[in-house]
Amino acid sequence: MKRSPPPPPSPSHHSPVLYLSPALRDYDAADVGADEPSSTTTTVASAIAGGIAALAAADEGKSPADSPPPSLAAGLARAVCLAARHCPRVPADDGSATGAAALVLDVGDGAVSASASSAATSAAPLQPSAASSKAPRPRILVLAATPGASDAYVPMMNAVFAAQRLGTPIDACVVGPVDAGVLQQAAHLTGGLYLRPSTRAGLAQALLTAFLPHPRMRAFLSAPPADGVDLRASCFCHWRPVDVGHVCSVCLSIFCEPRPACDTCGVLFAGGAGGAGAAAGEKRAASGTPDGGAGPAERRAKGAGV
Amino acid sequence: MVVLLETHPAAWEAAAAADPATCDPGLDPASLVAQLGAFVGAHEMDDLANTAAVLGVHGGQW
Repeated sequence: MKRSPPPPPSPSHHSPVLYLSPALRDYDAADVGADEPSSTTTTVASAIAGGIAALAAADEGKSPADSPPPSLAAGLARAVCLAARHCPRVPADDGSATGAAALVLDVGDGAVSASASSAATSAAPLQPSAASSKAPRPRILVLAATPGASDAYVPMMNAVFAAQRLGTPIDACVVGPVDAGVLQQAAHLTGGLYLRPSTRAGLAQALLTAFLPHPRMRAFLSAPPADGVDLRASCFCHWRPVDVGHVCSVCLSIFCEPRPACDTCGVLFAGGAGGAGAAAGEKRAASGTPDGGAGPAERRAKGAGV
Repeated sequence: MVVLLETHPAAWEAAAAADPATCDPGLDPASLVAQLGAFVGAHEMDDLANTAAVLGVHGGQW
């Protein structure tokens, strides 16, 4: 029996591009070093509004119940890819790769950094300190209103760790009524800024004062006080944030209650359901690697949970 | 700079919801987009080398 291929996903279910700077639009066409005229704020807003109108037109006739929940994880993954593609990092350790072409779209120092790094690359390996100071520093700003679907916790954290690896800070501005714990963690892990303005009347002011300064300048600025970071991890069984959880000693999956076997990797815990936590604890102690390279959220759940 | 903007209907509802505790009337979508446009435009005008991309987070799954 011939199987028909799955239908292509609807464009409205993706993370569509609403606006691109002129320089980014011509990135594939080669001459990325040429100065492009900057867009005006009206142009940017109308471009974004046009993209949103197209999304609304694609969703016309659908009930809100048919619309899948916001996929912040997918959007964040695409943003990380975009940042990595257009602003790749300069090799800081070995200096073996050439980074000249990578610097033309620097969001910070621009052409000055590009020319300086090009000369350094051709003459000698980049010094770590010089490379880190001149490297482009792309950043991601998430403007969210919902706390985010907790069932996307794992892909969300994977994207956060990818951004952390790239050195890309994730800023988050929440305009909804409740905090978004996963965005707090994202900002905390990547060195970004999390903000939920007390009043949304002056959103532009909050954006301009808190998020516009370059990350290198933020050390000299007084950031708005944060209420704290919710570092709880979500369990893999119900996707609920847990204070105390049970962690598989093999794959580090987190569960809110003991179980006889890991749902993720299938390993059997000695002692059945009642002894799952104890078994995992024994394995972890025997391995001698209590942290195992996991992220802070995982480490916290693991350390507290078993 | 890459900006992720939630464009899901649930996000618009949450942003537009008034907060009686702070007498915050909430944000309508047009105002939010206009203020975001001002921010992105300011980012681009801050430096000729500054670039920006705005992605919508509409919905879907992996």
